[in-house]
Amino acid sequence: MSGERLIELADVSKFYGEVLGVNRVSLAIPPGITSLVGPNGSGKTTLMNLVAGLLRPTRGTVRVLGHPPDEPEAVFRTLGYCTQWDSFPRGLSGRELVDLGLRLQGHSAPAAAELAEQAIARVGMSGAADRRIAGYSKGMRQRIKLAHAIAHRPQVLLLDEPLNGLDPLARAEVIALFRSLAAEGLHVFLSSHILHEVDLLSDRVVLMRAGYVVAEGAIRGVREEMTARPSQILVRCDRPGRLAAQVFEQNHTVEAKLHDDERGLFVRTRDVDGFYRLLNRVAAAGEIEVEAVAPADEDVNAVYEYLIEDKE
Amino acid sequence: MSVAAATDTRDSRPAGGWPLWRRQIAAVVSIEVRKNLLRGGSLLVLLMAVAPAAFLALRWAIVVVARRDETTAVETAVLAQVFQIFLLRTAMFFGCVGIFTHLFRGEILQRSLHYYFLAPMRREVLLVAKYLAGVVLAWTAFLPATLGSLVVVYLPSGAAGREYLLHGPGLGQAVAYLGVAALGCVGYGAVFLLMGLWARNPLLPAAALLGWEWINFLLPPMLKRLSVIHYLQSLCPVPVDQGPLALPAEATSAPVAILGLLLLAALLLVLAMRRVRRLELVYGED
Repeated sequence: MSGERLIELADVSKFYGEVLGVNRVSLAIPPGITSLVGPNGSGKTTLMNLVAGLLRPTRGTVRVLGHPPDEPEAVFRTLGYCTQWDSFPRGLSGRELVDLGLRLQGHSAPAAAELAEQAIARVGMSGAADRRIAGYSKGMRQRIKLAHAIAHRPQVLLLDEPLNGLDPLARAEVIALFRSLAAEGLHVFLSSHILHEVDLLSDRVVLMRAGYVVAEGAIRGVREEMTARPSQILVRCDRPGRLAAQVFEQNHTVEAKLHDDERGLFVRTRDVDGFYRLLNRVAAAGEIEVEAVAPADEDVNAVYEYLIEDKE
Repeated sequence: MSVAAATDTRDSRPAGGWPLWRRQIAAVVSIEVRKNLLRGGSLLVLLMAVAPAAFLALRWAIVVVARRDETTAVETAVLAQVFQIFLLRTAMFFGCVGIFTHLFRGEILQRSLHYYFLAPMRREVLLVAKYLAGVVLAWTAFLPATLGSLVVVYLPSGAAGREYLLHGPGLGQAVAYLGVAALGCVGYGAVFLLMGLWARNPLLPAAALLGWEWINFLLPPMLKRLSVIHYLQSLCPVPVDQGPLALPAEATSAPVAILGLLLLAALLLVLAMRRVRRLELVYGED
């Protein structure tokens, strides 16, 4: 492995005609778990597909474990890719899909059958493996794609939005599976549009927006950047004025704004835990009756906006 | 952390070269043949393939009802016309369009081609494997259909027909027709595989080629050679009268016709390899 760099992109750009996919991306993905995060349309899938050789860069070079992606015989022996595409060769069962992948790897039929069985068991699909994929739920399709990607025991695993469409229980199971694969020495490069889903999992994070890498580094650093930013919370209650008066007594409050209908309060605070403690206290004392509380900025777009503003 | 940690010591995969390609080709051919036999379009191809034999069977029934006594010479001429016009120019042409354009274009439309592209398989190997699968499918449809046409023409004609087919010139003709049908699948297959890779809608260039093949008899000798049907017709055991407007041309000798078709198929496959090597998968979203 060249200098502990699994994947290297040097000044990579990809244009679809005149439409920008990614622009001037230079990255070196080290061993461990790295997450590529960005809103829909930010270029994550383009970047993943460039790494896997499904797309060719308009400019720049990509290398995976020292090989260019257009050498599939070298690259895909050690790389597994679970794509975002939710379509499968027609008429196959889950087991046949995984078995097909292993036979294309060059495994003999008995070895392919054994490895397929192990991979299917690993993702918890043994009971449904002989059913046609067409009848699978979204979560089952996601799992069987994962089995297909890990069956040949790759060293590096690319996962494009692997948590999409999974219910909370399935998400927790899949995240646990990623952790256990990583603990066994598998290196994972995954994409997601939900930062908080991957920040507990990743060693490093790469943030993308509109085709550009806007931030990258250890997850702690990115989290600290987020912590420094005021959180926004919307509270619907019967006496928002009384709540506003108490909120303003807290040092960390940046802004508190009453709604026009006098049934809500918009708060920006640097200490979200402190705010929630205050809210609980006021509500428990019967001073206000809370109808609803919702964070107003937990979507990842807001985080990028903040990061970009900060960089500018 | 070392990436070598996950290396499988029981890895049974060949390192590369022919041993690997052989396994990969076998895997692709088996899955493609199975997958394409199951799809609805295959039934249409099969119906097209058996249509000439069905036509000949209908004709035989009419002959029996009319109590006409056809000679084997007449039957041979009818078979030649049906084979060249219905089977080669129409059924096999459209059948090969359906089979070979679908091999790549169909998978792009179904968004499933990446399963092959994500395997440690050279795309040239994938192309050859898919082409072989297409040839197997086309032969499965058109070789039995050719044989069926021969059987339907000669066997019901009584002892004379059976003698002609099994012990007379009919046997050599049968071998020739089967060879022409097999070569037709090889030649048209390569053409339509390339079209499926180059054109978003391969039906448009296929329609243009159909026109070119159909007006082949009107073309001067030099242009006749730029077609698949010219070589196939040259190999047919019984020539067919092409009408008063046809421009006569010398038939190409069998070795040249066979070699020419195989070389044409090889050239088209090389072009298809160049195309598939540079093919990007953009299914339409990012």
